[in-house]
Amino acid sequence: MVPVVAKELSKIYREGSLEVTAVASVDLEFQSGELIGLFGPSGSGKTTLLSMLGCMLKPTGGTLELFGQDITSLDERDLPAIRKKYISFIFQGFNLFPPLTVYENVMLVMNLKRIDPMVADQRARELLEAVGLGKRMNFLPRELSGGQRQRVAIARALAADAPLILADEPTGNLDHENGRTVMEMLKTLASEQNCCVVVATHDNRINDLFDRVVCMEDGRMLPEKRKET
Amino acid sequence: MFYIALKIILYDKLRSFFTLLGVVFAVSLIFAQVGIYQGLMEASSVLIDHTAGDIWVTSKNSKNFDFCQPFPEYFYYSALQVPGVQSVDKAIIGWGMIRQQNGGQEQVEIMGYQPDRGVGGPWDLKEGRPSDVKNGNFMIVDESAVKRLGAFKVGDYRDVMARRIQIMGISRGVKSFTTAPYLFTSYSLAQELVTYVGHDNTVFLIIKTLPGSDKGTVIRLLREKLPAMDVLSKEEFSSKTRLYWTIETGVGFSFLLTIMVSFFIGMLIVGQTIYNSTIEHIKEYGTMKALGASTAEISRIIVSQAAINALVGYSVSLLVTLASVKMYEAGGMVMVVKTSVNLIILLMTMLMCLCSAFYSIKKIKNIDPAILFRG
Repeated sequence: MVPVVAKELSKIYREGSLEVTAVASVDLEFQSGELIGLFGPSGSGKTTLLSMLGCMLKPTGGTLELFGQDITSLDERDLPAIRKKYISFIFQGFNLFPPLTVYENVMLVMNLKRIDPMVADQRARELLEAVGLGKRMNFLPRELSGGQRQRVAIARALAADAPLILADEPTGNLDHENGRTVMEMLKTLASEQNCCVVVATHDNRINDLFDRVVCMEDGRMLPEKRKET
Repeated sequence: MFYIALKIILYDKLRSFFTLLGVVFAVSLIFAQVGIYQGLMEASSVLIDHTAGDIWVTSKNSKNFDFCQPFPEYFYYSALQVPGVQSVDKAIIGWGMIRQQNGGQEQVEIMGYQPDRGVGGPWDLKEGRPSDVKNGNFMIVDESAVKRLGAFKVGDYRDVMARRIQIMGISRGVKSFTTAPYLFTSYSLAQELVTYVGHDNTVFLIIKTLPGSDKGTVIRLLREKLPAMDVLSKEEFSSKTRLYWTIETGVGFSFLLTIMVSFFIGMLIVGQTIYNSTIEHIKEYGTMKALGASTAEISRIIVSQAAINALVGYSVSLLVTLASVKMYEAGGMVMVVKTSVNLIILLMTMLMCLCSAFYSIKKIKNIDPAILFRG
């Protein structure tokens, strides 16, 4: 099944008589195993597009299908279940729970998914080992560097075992070296776990890592660039 | 979710401490108000509650125990004739003055009872016996009267209504709502001291019913036999007295107002701190939502925080209250701490804290996803 199919997807914000078009008639199709870069300057609509793909925001026009399911026809109350099943997020600000340890932050997602605690425990440990934080499982987020925190956020996203991962400026708060490490992890994730990873960014230094690059300007998609294989 | 709530509380130590302090302050105030109110109410009906009698006969439309009017003694015989009545005892309550040793005067309540029977007399004596007031100018004074009458001991003499009366005993636990000390005398002496009662009148008939007889039927028959009197069960008379002091004097309203203000102050304090904590963690809650948590699941964290605050705050308040009971007693006040009331206050505390979570839950429900995408 194709993870993401959008046709003429739009989002218009209305306040009184004022209308602001954040995303205008976007058509796109993302496949599993792809690492997609969503580029564009601030205000280009990439965050709004990401919010709609993540079922956090309802489109005002067009259709959106996630894994064959028409999201636009669903009720607001049905969206958490869709997110729980298909989607995971990585944010620029990491958004880790400060009172919870690294391990607990990763476990939280699996608790939400009602995964057996024994299985979840093993998975959390494996994931933290994989992102190089096996020895910092009992640390609080404030005791980690920015790069380490983002790696925890990646482990958390992986713990959700979601086929679609949406990352918003995941390297935004990291230096070049850490940013590249994080992006390489996402690339491995896409190819090895056959996930569809969409990364909204304006960091051109990591351009070479994407399988596809989608550019946005003023809410519209510009002609797409595909990496030559 | 409870675990996360606990971790948040332990993480935000200073905020949690002030929240706890707010809950403890509000709940301790509620405990104190309820406890003192109960102490006052128990004092208002202490003689009714501790007197061995099932039914009380008083003058018509008596408002409470302390202000009953005299009525002719011959009703005693009418009451005795009613089927189901085992015994009838006469008793008098009336107001008098006692001269203090330093020359001043204090108002007292004189309780006259039949010394051979003891009904209406003191039930817990530190010194002396109820029958010691028989055949003479004798009285028993409650130990709580020390503050009003000055130090006294058995054998001392005091002037009550210009008559020299000897203290024959000291009772315990008979503190009046009106703060006027109770003096226990023989029935006949009380008739003389409380001049408005007179020799052929009484103030109460205290009736015991025969074992196995139906109290309701006896009350009905007594009402038919004594239509000019009020005939009340012990419980009715006790409640009537308590209700009088609660409503007529404004005591009840004043206590209720303080309890409500404490409740709302507590709710505001807890509400504000939980709301601040929610705002502080709004991105994390938003992330949970993004990862598929429903509003209900996240709300459970907020509600758990409120419940933890309520339980810990309540427990500390209960300990503070129990520790301060003696302090209140030393100050001449009675504070009653009862299990049933404690449970009601626990429910109030839970309600107070859970209501305070309302705005936080509303905030969670309407999280703007855009906040998650801001670095």
